Amino acid sequence: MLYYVLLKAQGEISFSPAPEVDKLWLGSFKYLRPGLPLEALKRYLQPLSLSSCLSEKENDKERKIIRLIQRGLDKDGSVLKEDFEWHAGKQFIWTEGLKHLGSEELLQEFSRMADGRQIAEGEFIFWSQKLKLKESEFLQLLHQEVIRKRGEWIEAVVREKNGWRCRRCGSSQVAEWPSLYGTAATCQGCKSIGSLTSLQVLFRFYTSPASSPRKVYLSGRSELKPQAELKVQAELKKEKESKIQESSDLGETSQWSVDFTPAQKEAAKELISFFTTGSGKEVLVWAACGAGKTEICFPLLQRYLEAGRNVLFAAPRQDVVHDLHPRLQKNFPAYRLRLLSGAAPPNWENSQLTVATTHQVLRFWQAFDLIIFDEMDAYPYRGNQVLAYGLEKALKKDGDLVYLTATPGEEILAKVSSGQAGLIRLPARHHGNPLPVPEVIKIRLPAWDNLKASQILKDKYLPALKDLAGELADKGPLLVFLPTVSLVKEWIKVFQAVFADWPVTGSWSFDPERRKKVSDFLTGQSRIFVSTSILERGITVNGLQVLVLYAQHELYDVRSLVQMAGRVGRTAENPGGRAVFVAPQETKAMATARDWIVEQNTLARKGGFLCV
Amino acid sequence: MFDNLLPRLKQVTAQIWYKDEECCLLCGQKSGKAICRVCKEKYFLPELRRCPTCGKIIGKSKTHCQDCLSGKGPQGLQGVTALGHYEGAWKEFIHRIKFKGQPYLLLALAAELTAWAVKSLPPPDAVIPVPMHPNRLAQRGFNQAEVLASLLSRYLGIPYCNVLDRVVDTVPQSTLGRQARLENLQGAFSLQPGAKVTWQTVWLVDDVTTTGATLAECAAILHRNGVEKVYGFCLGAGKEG
Repeated sequence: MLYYVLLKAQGEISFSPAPEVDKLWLGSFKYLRPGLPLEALKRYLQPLSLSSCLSEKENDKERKIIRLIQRGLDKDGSVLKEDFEWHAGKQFIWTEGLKHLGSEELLQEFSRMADGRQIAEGEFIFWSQKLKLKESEFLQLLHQEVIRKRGEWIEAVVREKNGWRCRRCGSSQVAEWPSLYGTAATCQGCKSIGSLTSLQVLFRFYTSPASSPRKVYLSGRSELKPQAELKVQAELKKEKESKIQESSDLGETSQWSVDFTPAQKEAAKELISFFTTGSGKEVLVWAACGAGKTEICFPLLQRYLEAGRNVLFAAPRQDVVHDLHPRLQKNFPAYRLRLLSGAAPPNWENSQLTVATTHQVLRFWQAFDLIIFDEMDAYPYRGNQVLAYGLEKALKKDGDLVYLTATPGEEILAKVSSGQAGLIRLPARHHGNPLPVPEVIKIRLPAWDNLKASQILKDKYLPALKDLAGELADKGPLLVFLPTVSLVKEWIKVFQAVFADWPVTGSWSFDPERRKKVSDFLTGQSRIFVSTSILERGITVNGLQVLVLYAQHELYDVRSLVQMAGRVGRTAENPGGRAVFVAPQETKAMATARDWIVEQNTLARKGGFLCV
Repeated sequence: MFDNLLPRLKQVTAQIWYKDEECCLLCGQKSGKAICRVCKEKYFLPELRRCPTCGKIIGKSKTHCQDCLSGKGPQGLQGVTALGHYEGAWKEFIHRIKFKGQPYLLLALAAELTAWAVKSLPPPDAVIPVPMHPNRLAQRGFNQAEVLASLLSRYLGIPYCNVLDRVVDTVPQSTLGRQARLENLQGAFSLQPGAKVTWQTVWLVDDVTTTGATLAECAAILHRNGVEKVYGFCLGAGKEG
């Protein structure tokens, strides 16, 4: 999109994609044609200080601006041939289309949809269609909001000293290409949600309490009248503190779709108390696998929603988000719930409660008062700076952050150790039985490089493994984990040959039949299921037993091993079961995984949360 | 400082040590090639012929498409070819280049593009891109036809000559029907002032052809200015039947 330099009567300089809107709002001015990308204009005119501009004569100023732009274009290697000329603003003719952009109804609808959002240039067309406007009218509407200081234009990708940086995701990974304006760059960090280039802009719409249609419930849950809302928002911080302090005990938990265990009640209470007593802005909830960590956030979430705050429930994976959505809908029926994921249809509505994948969070800017981040250590979030940046930027400056995980990474543990984040433990499962502690069985399986099923079937250790797998599969469905896709494919053949009478199947991430095969396994149609790490999280199968082959593999870190072992004993009908790591030797990761699980059990016992 | 240095060092070492396995640009599956075998068969259809008048993909036994046989095709081109069927993932790929600021993706296809062009068209004296109107060029920042033409020029060592102008900012062809497309372009192009045309055979390059109207309109100007043979080359075209 192109921006024009505007020179106002007082000598002030600004950039506009729609000079007619500036004319309407701010009166007479001159503007420079042709337009240029905002990133280039801002960079070229950076040396122009406001004071020098105000003190110079108009003609000098105009010439200086053109000189700086031409110098910048030459330096960038631009092949633009047009000459720059100043035009008077009065040449604009008011269009009928422009008039209706001032309608309160339209502005309110737009505010409701765009609250806290960052809209990429490539998305303008969808927004204009939604608002039943021409794309040019939508652009004028956006610029009107910029003039009213309710939003701003942001250069999508900016040039820095040593390269480029995307202003949506913070990434400096770009692909450069020659453009009309010299070298341009396309961000590689967030292209999965629509690519951004240095020739494009983002429109950032501020979260505006006054324009927000949020219901604000106070004591007694009465809904405020709109005119009272502004005052309430201004006092919100104070209100929140007093409100949450008033009700820092957990109160009634029977309203939730699951019965809270004593351990959950304790953790939920600690969570509320953490924020109400001002203990910090970030807290880690370290839960045992299958302990019901999501639910313990419900009472806290309820309080934020009642105080009119915006809450985001985020998770790195689509399947986790799609699983969370109905649970939140069931537990918060009074609130409109927005689901944002690559697999869900676009959602234009604003709402107080949002559930989204971490990629979608990049579309927001200081929009949420509370972010609850589930499965924080899962791929693709783990180690992804882009998604971490997005989460940080989507949270309001004084917002609160809750991390939920059964297997925290080193970074968050370091934050806890240094006191930057609080720690709340949820060590026991709902059925009150301890977590099954994984066993290590030392078997030297054949080397995994180019391994074929025929070689495995001849291996001298196969009988021992067969006995072990048979023993486990006799107790319940057996889930066998392998570190690579090629190993999964070969070992499926091995188990099918060895247990010819049993239904044996398996899958991996890009298996086209993955969904069906996994669904069949979850509904009890396979006795043995061989898989990569795709099933290490988020599944519950009654009576499941787990066998991890090549447990010494470098892909299996502590977190992976704890998650895989954590699939066992999740239901009240079968709270026990075995998780077995098969490897030539016990590795440090295996030992630590076992220590973590034993520690959770110890804490659960100390807290009096175990019934056996 | 060393906290940041170490992970960066690890990353750089990993980049030197291992080469990421290349994924297919169309389906995303690991393939070791820019376009996997399955996608090539699905979208490039190398076994099928191209209508020499408009570039449409036609059956093995046909010489021209139905439209061109019945006289509705464009006039003035000595041959047209398109690398693939403008549909599905190939269409999506062309949109990424054109509308999503990723013209650099064409570089990965250089070998594919040049091989198909050499196989399908006679050697030219120059490669000429279909021009874009200055208004649209200013908005987009690049002309995908220029990118494609310069890539063919660079890889095949054929002179690149940007000699045409688009003088009318026409309605996008994709929004119009067949007849309207043909009429939409009348008088839309001209030879650049002062441009010297000295070639007998040229390749005229555009991203997509549907009716062939754009290519034909440009070819007419080139013919008027002394070019004997004009061949069209495009990334995508429609398919008959």
